[in-house]
Amino acid sequence: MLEIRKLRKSFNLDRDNILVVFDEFNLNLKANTTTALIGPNGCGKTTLLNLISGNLKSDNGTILLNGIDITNEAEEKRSIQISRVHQDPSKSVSLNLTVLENLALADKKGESFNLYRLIRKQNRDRYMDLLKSFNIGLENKINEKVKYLSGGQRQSLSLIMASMKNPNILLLDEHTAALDPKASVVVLEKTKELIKKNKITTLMVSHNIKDALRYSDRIIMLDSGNIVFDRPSISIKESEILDIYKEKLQEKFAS
Amino acid sequence: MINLFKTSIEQGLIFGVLAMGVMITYKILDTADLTVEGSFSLGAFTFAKFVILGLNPYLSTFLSFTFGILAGGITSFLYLKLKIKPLLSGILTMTMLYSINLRLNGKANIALFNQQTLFTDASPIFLTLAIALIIKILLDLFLKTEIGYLLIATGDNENLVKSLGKNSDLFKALGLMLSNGLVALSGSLMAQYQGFADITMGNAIIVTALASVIIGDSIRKNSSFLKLTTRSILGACAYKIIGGIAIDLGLNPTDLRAISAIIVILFISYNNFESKLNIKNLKSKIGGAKYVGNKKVAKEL
Repeated sequence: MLEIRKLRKSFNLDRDNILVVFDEFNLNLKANTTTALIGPNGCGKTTLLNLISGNLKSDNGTILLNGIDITNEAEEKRSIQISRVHQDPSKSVSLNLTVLENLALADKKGESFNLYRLIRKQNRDRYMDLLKSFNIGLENKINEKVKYLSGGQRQSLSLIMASMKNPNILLLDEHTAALDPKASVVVLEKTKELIKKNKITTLMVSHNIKDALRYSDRIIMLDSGNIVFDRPSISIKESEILDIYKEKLQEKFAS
Repeated sequence: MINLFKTSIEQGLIFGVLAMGVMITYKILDTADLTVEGSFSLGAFTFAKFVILGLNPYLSTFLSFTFGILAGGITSFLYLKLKIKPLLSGILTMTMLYSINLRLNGKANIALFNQQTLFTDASPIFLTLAIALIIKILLDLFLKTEIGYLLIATGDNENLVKSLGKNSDLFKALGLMLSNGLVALSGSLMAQYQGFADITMGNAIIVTALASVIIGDSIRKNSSFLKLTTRSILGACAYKIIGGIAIDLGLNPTDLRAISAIIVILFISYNNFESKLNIKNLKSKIGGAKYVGNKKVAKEL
């Protein structure tokens, strides 16, 4: 499904210092699987998502989606196939538009925008059903501006919008990190339902190891741009991962 | 007094077109575009040029609008392609337009009294009202279209526009061009209304426009019934009436700019500090039967 080959990404910190985040990095995501990406801060998780979504350009290497090279495609072109939900609940939606208007925009994703009316009556019922199926009461707020919704509701809306046009890949960038524990559980459960229903290949970044284990099929740990650990989620316990974290931290302090 | 009121409304409606243009950049795209300082007089000078060449006033007015769009295009190019900050891009275009405006007719002031204009055979109040309303309706319809919503989304969250598979730069350029087109149209109308085009017409026009937009915004602030376009027109009229009264009361017309700037400062700072001042909560603190809608005693309910 998604194949990353020999990817290299570096940042020029200043004239003499170059930070190499990824070098000769390879990753393969199988269709219809959910992969959790974990690792300490600064290990390259978000950079990797940015590289896949096209927000950052790689120095070298190729990214293939369904066998097609998308390495040089612009972010807006890639986004038709690759949807992303950001950590910040206001980053994937338009706050000054209503829930209905946001949904109508997301429904036009990848299509041409013309001088027709955006909100049409026949679509409204479909959006209503979609919101009802999510079952968190968003259907009663369809005409409310998104800025008046709670973080959990905004992230749920972001998820619905990201998955509306059945993307090939869904990137979740710690999408529940800004939510309280209760809202976080609701959003994660809904995410799981949605991924299963629409059969979307997902890559999710998480700092919460419990969530990462529970909601993924495969778990990958990054450290300084390298995969230090790649196993099916069923085969591993939280304590094992914590031990590796500790080890890595000790190594860092020792060096 | 009635005459003053009428003139203020007529000018207010012309400035309403200006305010609707600036509303697109200031309210929708959330950028301060200084190109308008040049494109307002560009509209006036383009009209003067073409009407003196013998073109009919309708076509000349339309050409003013088109030239304004081009001016917005220059700013968009500087800002989006050459990556110059929007504020500076606007200033650079405005500076270029100053020379272009002088080149267009070869002088800084052109009388239009002997020329055919839109106002020649029409009643000014009727004509200005009709133009402001038509533009308002067209703009409202546009903002409800798919492209219109993308323009709003671009100002709100560029990430979202990208995630929809669209290049947000295109919509920024569209906004800047449409905005300057309307500003130039307003400049052209102003020149026709007052009977001359002058190079200083555009000076500090951004402050007038912002004052109109901001005053309009403060009218029935929480009402969703009043659209941005309506607010801009009402704001421009209110602004002109306030200015008209001030001059009528003996204020020197040259002081009007300082007053405009002060109006903008007061309104923006009021909006910024409103929550801290807690004016609405103050009412509830005062409390008492006067402020309670339902005066039945709790037991009776």
